[in-house]
Amino acid sequence: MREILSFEKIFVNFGGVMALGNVTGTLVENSITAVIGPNGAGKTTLINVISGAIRQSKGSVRFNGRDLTGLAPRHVAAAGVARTFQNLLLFRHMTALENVMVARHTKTSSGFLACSLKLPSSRRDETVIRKDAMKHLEFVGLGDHADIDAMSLPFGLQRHVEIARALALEPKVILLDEPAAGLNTQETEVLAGLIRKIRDKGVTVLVIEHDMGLVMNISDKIVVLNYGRKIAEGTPQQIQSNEAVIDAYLGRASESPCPDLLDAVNSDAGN
Amino acid sequence: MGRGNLITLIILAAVIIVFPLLLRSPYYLRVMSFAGIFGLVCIGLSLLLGYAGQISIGQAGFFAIGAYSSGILTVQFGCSAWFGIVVGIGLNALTAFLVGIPTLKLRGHYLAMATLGIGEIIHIVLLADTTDLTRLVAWIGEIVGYEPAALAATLAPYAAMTGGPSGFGQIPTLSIGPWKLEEPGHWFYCIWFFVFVAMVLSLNMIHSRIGRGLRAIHGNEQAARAMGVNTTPLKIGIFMISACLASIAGSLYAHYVTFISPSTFSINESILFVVMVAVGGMMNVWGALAGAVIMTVLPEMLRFFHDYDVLMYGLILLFMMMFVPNGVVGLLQGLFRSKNTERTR
Amino acid sequence: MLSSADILQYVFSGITIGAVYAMVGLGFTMVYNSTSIINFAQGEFVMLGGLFGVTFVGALGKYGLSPHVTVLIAFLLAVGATTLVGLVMEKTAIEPTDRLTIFHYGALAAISFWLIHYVMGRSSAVAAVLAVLIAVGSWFLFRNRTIESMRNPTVLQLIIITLALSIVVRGIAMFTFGKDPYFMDHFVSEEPIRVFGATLLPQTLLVLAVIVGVVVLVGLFFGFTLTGKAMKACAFDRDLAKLMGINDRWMILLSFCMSAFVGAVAGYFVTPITLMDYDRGPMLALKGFGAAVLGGLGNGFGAVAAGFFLGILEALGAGLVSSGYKDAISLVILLAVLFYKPSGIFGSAEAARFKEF
Repeated sequence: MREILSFEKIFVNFGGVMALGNVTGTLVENSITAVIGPNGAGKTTLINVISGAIRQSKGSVRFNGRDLTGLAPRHVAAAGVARTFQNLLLFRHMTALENVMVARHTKTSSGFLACSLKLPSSRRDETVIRKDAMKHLEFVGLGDHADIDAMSLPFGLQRHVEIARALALEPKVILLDEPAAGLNTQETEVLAGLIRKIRDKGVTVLVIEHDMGLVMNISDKIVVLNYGRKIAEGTPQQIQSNEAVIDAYLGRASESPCPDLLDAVNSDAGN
Repeated sequence: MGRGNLITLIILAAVIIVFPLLLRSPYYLRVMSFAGIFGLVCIGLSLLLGYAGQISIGQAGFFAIGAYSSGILTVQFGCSAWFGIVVGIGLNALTAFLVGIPTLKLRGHYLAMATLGIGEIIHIVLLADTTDLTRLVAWIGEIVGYEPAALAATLAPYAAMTGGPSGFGQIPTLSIGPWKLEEPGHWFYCIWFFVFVAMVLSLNMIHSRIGRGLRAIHGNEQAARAMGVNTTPLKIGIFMISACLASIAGSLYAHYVTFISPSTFSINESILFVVMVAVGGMMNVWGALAGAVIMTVLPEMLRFFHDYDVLMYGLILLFMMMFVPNGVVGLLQGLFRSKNTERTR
Repeated sequence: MLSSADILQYVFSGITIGAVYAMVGLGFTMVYNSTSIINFAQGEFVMLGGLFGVTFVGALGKYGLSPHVTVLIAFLLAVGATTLVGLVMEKTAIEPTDRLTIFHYGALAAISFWLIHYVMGRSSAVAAVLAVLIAVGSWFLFRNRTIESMRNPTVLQLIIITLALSIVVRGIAMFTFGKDPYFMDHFVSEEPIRVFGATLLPQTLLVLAVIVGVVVLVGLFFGFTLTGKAMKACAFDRDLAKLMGINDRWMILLSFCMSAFVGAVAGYFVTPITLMDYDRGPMLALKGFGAAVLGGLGNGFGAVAAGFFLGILEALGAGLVSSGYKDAISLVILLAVLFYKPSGIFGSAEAARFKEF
């Protein structure tokens, strides 16, 4: 299967702190790749680099043969890489549908004049934008909530709005930053189904997550970061039994004070 | 644009048509005409403030450029008033463009300070009299190599054009074809026609792709960029529009009052515009209009505050920003809507 | 053209006003660092320092103290009063809160008293009674109500609030002190010193010495005291500082009061040279902001250096070109800096571009 996005030897330095060091990886088309690691490992920084929100100190990002290095976020989005945010950056004072419609902004081009005079071209654009956005909202199961103020929706549904918004960019790759944070078991199951649906639609998924159940469940490949470095990469089975990974999360495995806990984690992860 | 806005527009049109017929007193018509002129400025300001989330504390400067362009072109050069209005718009659009390009890339207080600065510079330039300009020209002339006296002599008549601190008068009133606007009622209709058109165009724009882009910027600029929106040109565009609306208002003001002087276009007026928008509701063009009307009518009704008007404006602004940040209209909207089905505009 | 003596003369006059710009710029920086807001009322602190100074010097006159003692005591009183104003400002209108505090009720009472007595013309007894009634009545109405709008004020909201505060303070000053400019006798000899053909006022040297002293003190405070370091931590990352046990509210209040303090010091010491009237604030704020930006927004020492630079440049411009356009010159410089190098001479480009408002 072909590689659609790759990041090579990414270094990110903030002042004296190295947020990412020599991180390399690829995303295979139509797959789900998870990036895991303890807090502060640099996972969000990686997404920020790929999406253009921050500039890496060294290294490159290639997408579909194109070098994304140095592109502003809006150009990365236009190229076909969309993202969601860990802290949910929905647009305040706008409905769920309007939030998604913003993502369709660049697919049309009526300007100030056309819009204020409500010229036919602008009206056509509106209809098209609304229809397309609705499609994506329905895809995540929120068709009925279209006209509700986005910030007043329950938290789990807000996450879906943000995913719909990112999908409305019609990207080839979507970067999900901790989409399951704050969700209960049932909501996480729904999310898992949604992510698989996204993959089946032909969008490659990169997901940052802490919920091991979800990660082991849906990922084709897992990349593990710790202190800014990649310490392991492989299938869920391989990662489960990887010593370095267990070290990073729980401390030295051989000296673990809670071997029962270790067993529980390992067996849980298999679900 | 939504049924609510359409209905309110129809009501507005009805009120505009009926008002001079019911209240024939020239005094009321005059007050409401000024309210309309300020309303134009406020609509522009609220588009900037409420939809792009940027603040301009220099609208009086754009207002002044519009007024002085109209005044100078009609009085000194005998141009038609409409030409003066167009030139004013052009100058303001250019100024806003030049100021906006570097500042709108940055955090909001840069634009705040830049507009404050521009407003002050315009005020100073208008206030300066012939001797100041002659000295400035002489200094430039020395550097550039021209004979300062000759240069000053050529430019002297231009320097006198702004009239310095005392301004100038004799500005002809507006005429539509052969018909001169002289009756208070006619002026009222003319001004409020402009206001109505501005409202329609603004509401159209807000409920379109452009308006949504701007609201997204105000809602969360980082997310807007991540969704592909090119934020800087949108912000510059709306800043230019707010300047142009202030320009039209300024030109109307010049022809209406037929006399202009720098004291009408100082930082106090810029602040007053911000107060108007804050009182009515920053996030809403209806709020801007309401605020303009309220803050024009109220001081007339509360005459005894006259010496302290600036202080009162400050207190009102403080109170509104602390306790009613969405203004009067925002407050009313909040009362009439339930949380769950909150439509935003 | 001009002799070097003339230019030196302009430089000297520029130092005086430059010192004020430096302090205003420093004040802006301190508040900005801890809150991310631009305090439009910064210029008013300078004005208050001067006007309070004149008032206290005059009031102390009848005690027949030696002039130096008068100056010292008046200084402490004037600067103290101005800092108090800064404190009230912060507590009433800046600090996030979800209920009305004693400051709000106090301000309400004071405003009501002023409105009823001075504007509406009722007797002060009636006004006082009504004011207290209004305050107490409001307390009854609002003591259990939460105020949503000030719980988490946006940066835009706060900036407009500081704008409003500057207007209110200016209005009260106009009302209290009148519109005419005030003057103070020089604190030192009025005999000008001749330096290379130019004349230098001893008061100017005093201003310079005091400002340098203030800058040194502020530097020592931030560099070597625990509170200073806590403030820096708070400015760097407020949430992280809170987790470390630093009381961020105190830090913000402190930065406000410190910015009032430095502004007042400048105002007090330059009034003998430049006079002071109620309307000085806005222009000083604008140019002080220019200094802060020129020095790199967030960089205190940069602001101070830029303030002096701006002052000298302005004096040269006024002397060489035209005094009518003097203010315009500084503003054009300010705009030029904003346009071409918003990160300033010492600042970082990231700080200028990162958007939150």
